[in-house]
Amino acid sequence: MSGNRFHLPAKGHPCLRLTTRSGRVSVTAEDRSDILVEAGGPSMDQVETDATGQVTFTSARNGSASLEVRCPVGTDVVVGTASGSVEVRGDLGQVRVTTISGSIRVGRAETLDIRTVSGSIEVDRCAGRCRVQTKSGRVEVGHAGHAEASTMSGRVEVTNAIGGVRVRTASGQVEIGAEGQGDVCVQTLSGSVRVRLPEGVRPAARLASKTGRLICDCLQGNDCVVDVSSLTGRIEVAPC
Amino acid sequence: MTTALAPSSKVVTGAVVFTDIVGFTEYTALRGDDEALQLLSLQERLVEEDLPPGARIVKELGDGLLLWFPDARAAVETCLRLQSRFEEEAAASGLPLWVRMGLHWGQQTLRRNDVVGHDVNIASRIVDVAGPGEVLLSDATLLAISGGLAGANFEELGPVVMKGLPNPIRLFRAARAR
Repeated sequence: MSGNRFHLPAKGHPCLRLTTRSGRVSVTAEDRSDILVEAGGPSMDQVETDATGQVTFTSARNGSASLEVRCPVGTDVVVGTASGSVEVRGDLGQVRVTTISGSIRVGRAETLDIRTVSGSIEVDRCAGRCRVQTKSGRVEVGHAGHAEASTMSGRVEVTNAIGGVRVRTASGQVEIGAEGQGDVCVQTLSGSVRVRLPEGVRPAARLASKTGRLICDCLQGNDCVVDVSSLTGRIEVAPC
Repeated sequence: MTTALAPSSKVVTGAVVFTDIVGFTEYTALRGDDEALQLLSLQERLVEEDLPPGARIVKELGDGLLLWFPDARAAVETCLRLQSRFEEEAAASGLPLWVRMGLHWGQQTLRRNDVVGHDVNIASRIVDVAGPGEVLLSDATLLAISGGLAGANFEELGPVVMKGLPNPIRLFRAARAR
């Protein structure tokens, strides 16, 4: 990438704060002790560091900059951008990303808060709370400690939720694979919902749909609460 | 050609809150206008019941409301209390009262009963980033309440770049402390 290149020592617990109006943002956590920022935008970009380990990169006023950042494993990352995709790879700490139209992809993080208005969201693994939100894009979460997702029309898929799950969507379809160790709460207006639980888990299933079909193939019990409501969507709870 | 002169305008300082019912268009399409109106009425009634002295509903905006508060602390407290009431009412009635809120403290220019200006525009952009059930606020609001509020916590989302605004705004997610 041609442009500005900043090489910074990582102090304490590193935290990256990256702001650019548009342009692709890529952050890679790897086995290294410094931070490398390559900015492909105009000059006058601003980099500030402080004693706590916080590194702040802000692209020039109203400017755009493609950013490629390499940082130590466990770094906290905060990204704000209007458009352009954001990709975060490797093992990160707390990850917070807000973009308007870009898509967001995250590898592994301790906790997440990621939001986009029209882009899609993909998360491989989040050990703790995984809060994701998009209006029209789809959400795909691989593994999550505790998942919170909302969309308007985008589909929501959580493959493996260890703890609780809370999903709200107007018309998106919802697919949840839960471990049964936390409660599952899903609310939709018209989207269909499918919840999969491990064989042998007995949920207290509270399913409600005004016109959609309700199916629960699990034996009822008190292992966890599965509370799903929809106005018109079909609801299915079944063992894996 | 005649030129209309703007009447002298009054500038006030306060908190502007935008509310928006998530999924309202879908709900109207599924359930019809009458039930959609019930949802709007429910939101408005709960807001009117909870507004502190001096605060007011400036106007209705489709499925949302524009609120004004003279006090930042009261604004944040009211928003959090309202979210709890919206949740309770939604659970009890089955109505999808999924409300998101954006809050910004600053200066507004009064135009008859309306409030206009840059700080109003910021609040309207903040609500775009919020999800159902959330209260998001700007760093200016957090500063106005001296960084905190008993019984509430504030989680930073980071610098957020918003359409039409030249500089990023630091946003925070307010929630009841558990």
